[in-house]
Amino acid sequence: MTNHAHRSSGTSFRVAGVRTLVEPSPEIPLVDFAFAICSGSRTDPPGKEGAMRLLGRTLRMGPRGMSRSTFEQMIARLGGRLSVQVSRETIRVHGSVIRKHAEAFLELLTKMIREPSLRPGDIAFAKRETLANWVHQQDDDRALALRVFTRTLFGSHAYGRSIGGTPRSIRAIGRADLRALHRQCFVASNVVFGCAGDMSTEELRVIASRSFAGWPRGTPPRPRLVAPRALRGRHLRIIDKPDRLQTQLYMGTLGTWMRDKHRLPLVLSDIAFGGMFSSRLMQAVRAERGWSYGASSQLSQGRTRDAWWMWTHPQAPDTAACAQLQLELLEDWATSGINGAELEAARNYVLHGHCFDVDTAVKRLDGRMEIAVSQLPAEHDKQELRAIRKVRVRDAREATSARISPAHLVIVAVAEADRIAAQLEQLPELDSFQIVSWEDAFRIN
Amino acid sequence: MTNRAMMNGATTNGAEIARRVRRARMSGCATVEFRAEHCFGPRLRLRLYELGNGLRVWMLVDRSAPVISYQTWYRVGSRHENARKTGLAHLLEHLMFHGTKHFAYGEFDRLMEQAGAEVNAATWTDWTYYYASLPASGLELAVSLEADRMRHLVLEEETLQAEKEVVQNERRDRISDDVEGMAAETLYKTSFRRHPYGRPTIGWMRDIRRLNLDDCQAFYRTYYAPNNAAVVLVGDFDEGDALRLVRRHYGAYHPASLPEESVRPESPPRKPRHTRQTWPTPTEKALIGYRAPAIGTPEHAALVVLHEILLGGPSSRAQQTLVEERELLSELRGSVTPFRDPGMYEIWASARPSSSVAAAIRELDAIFARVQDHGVSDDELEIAKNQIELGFLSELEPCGGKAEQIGFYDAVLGAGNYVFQQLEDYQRVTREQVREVARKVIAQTSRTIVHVIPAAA
Repeated sequence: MTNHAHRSSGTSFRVAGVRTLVEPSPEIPLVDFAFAICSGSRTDPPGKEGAMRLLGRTLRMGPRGMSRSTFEQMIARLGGRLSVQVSRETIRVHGSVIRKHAEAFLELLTKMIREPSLRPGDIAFAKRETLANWVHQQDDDRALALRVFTRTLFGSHAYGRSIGGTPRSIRAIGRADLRALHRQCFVASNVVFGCAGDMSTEELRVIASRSFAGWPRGTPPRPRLVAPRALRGRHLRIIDKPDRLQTQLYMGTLGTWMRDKHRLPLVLSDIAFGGMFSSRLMQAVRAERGWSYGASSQLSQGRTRDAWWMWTHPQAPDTAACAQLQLELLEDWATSGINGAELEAARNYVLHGHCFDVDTAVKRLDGRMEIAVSQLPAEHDKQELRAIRKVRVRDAREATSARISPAHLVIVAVAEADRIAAQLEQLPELDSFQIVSWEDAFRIN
Repeated sequence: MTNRAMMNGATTNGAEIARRVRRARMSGCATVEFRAEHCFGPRLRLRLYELGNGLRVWMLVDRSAPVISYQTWYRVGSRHENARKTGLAHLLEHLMFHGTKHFAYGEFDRLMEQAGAEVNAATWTDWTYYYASLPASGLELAVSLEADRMRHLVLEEETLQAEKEVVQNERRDRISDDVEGMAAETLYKTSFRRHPYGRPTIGWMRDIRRLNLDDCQAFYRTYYAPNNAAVVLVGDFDEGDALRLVRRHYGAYHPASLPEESVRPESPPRKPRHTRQTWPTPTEKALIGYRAPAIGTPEHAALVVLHEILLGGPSSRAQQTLVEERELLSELRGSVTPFRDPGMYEIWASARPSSSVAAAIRELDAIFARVQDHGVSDDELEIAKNQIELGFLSELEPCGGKAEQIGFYDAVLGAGNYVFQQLEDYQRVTREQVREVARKVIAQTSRTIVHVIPAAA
């Protein structure tokens, strides 16, 4: 097809020291704003895990001089929607608003970020809410399994910590901690701001200049990040939850990181293994045997070595056979890698599907913000696509065997233990085996 | 070939495009007619064409990205199933990804994924739809594969058995091991005793196990036909070229003789219905259901506005009282079913660890009573409408979102263009209508409650 008007007309500039990215798109009368504060849960002070998450939650309660309910009313009245998400590396504030109220909405958003109220009452509420949510997570078997998997794989490393903290660490966080984190992290050089949608660059520049004026400068904390140590051997954890008909089964090990030379070949290899419907894992587990509705693998890519895992959810009687099959698939993959046809399939999937990473202004902005936050070159996407075109079968094989080790594996199953434990215990070369009650799962170590 | 520059939709009207496509020689193909054009704002123009065999074709050119969304919506869902063959529509949706006369098992996924496509499908009470989001260059592939499986699906015993296992595992995942899934299934089963809305779309486990090849083939032959489907195409394409492709690939299919539906709407229960379920969950929960008006009616629009005022977001009345001020609940949300027949206004409440949902329901009743007695304010009405507008616009952003809305309204209301009218319907809702619908729908005497109690308690 010809005549594409899709090419990004995005621009970037600084306003009061804040890096600002714009992706205009006038098709729909809607505007999205995003702030990324480049400090996440890794910045939590020791013993106060969950502090950044709590700061994000309290931030959402509004700026100084405005009650929580008044703030909510104002957002709603403007036809806006607002969310705050905290990851290991960032706090992200995202707001959407109907076009006619975009200016007022951005001013309110900026005030919230720069001058949060952090009232003692609000902090106490957020802490009670966090503790209640902690309890509620026990309803989600998949989240339970993934949490235990992460904790077991990374142990006390920063990647093993819960972004939300623990009941004990949450109780230890005080208002002074949140104020200090806000003062240190919410400085101009640590903020990336973006706008996508029905607002011109010129218009945004005027509004942002007014709202961002006098944004404090400073140097944010940069906590040191060391590589995690690989857990030696194979370790099985069963989270015993009654009345389960099926098993949430996670199996994985350490994988790769952003600046790893093996990363892109491994990305393609992983897609061929478990990232598509036509991939090995899906075909073997679902299409051929019908053992699980979902079957996929995932490769996280953090700033240091991150996790790789595969997930299935077979019914209890099929669990042991499914786990055994997955181990065989894993060993074969780690040893032999993927073949030429699989590499081409994965490569085509990524290259042809790339247009969906940039098909809306919001997605284009998200991509550019991710690059800015990760301090990657602006041409990062293009470089990646070029590099993907060059990956050879040999590269994928080497990357897989260098990074994926079936000998050092964490296996987590949320299920009714009585129905699966005896069979799973027979899995080959297990070094440890533990059954934990679902109510105690978050305390596992 | 027709000149592309003349056919880009900017200068050529729909009737002219249809006339030119008709002129192209394609033996055995149905005719094509231009039916209507609908605009939303200065940039979005939706056109409807219809082939002689009854296939409706919705087209919306959007060149903001080099992608297309190709969707096929069938007017068949779980409401069309025999009461002892529940899950058939959904099982067939799974089987549609198997082989056809022209493509072996697995080829559909392989070809689509190679083209960079994301494909999937969904089934609910009133419809089944298949979607493909793919680069603009993949249009012909999508048209040919979708058209092929509309009439040439090959069903085999071995793959049917494996797929039934997959569906049973899906059911275990979504219903049997999931507290919300279990509660929703119980709510509908309890509230609807005659209407098929009381039966789960995924099917009862015993029925899924019993379904056989004959059932699937009969259902497929009956409902998968051009006159029971709509194709929706949104994105970066040439309207004339696309219409020619659709005509070439679907034009030879004959319309099916569709059975007459005997389903009648079911009145709300005359007495409250209450069930208790114990479950391995750390806190109490409740799913509350009121009979809701059918989609497309003024009452449905009023109920959506009422819902927005009461439960819609953090500023809504019930959220403020139950979650923020009283801290009785950790989670409170609701939705109005978008069903062709009267469905459900359902509310999910999950208690804080030390609270009971009974106390929350009492508070909720008091909030409802205040609306029934005193109505809502102009300010609340304006806020709700702004929030609905935001939600509507957000859904329209990607090509797939636009296509989904168009296809949905075609399947449920027979009018894909309602996508652009719904906002006006919401904007027209008055305070009096909100109060009226609160009085009519929110009745304790006809509601159904599923109360979930922690197993250890």
